[in-house]
Amino acid sequence: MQERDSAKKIVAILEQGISSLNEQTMARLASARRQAVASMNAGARADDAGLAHVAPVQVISTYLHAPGRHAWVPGVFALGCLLLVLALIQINLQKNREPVVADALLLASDLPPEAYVDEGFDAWLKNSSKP
Amino acid sequence: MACIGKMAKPQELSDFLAQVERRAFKQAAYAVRDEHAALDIVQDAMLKLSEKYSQRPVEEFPMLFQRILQNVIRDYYRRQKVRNLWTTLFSSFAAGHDEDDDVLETLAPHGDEGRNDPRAELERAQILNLIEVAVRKLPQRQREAFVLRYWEEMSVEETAAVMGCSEGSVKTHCSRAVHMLAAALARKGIGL
Repeated sequence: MQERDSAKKIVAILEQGISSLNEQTMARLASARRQAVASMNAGARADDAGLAHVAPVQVISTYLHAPGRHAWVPGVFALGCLLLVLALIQINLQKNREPVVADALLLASDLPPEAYVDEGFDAWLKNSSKP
Repeated sequence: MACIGKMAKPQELSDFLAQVERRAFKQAAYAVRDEHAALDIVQDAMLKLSEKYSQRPVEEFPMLFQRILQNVIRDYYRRQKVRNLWTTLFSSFAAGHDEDDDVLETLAPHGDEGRNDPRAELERAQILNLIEVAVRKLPQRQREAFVLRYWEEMSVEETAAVMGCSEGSVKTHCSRAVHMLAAALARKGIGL
């Protein structure tokens, strides 16, 4: 109990100390307080703005997981994405295969490869094929 | 922690900060022994409270603010430690370094010389200075426990939660702090 009384006396003197802080310190503390309150107000305004600041991924996620939405919707969405990726891979493979097919045709042809790059040969072919 | 009460309003936050800011400043100043750094620390703690916890009910603010304040003070200590390490490394290469800096000089009370206060007020100011120096000289944990328990009037349980220690430790720290302060004042002829 004596310890508590001593503590109270010490605290009472310390309280006197904070009542005599200089004006500069008080002004700085008041400024810090205003900044903190302004920060709180700014935060509240940002929340009111709704989804304006939310990343697109979050929007999709929110949409997919919205309450009341059918459970199979995320599955279908994922399957669609998978099919899209597979289609892109297939297109890419197809493109890579085309030069191989062209090379095979060229080698199997009766004409030498130089004939296909000779413009005079094209003209001769057109003229000679006329009746 | 679940948010049970209603969310605080800006005016409530402002009122709360106005209520605690001077004690928080003194608390930080006792800890870091630099008034400018103490003001920065309080400002940082205020901003963190408003940015991260403004949606909490106002009843939770005292505990949250004290916890933030203690963390910001610890962050300051950590930064100082790193800075001091670099300073020591560089100063060891510098010539003419004064090795005889007395740590106690930094703890000397900043008197209010120059003011023509009445005698009684001067005595009071001197006692206040003595007590503030004694509080500053307390070990960190004892000072934290004393300030939270007796100045912020937190319960033993709340103090333990803020300090992250057991209630028994809080009681021990508080008891030692009060005895050390009383002894320091008694040495100067001031009885409690």
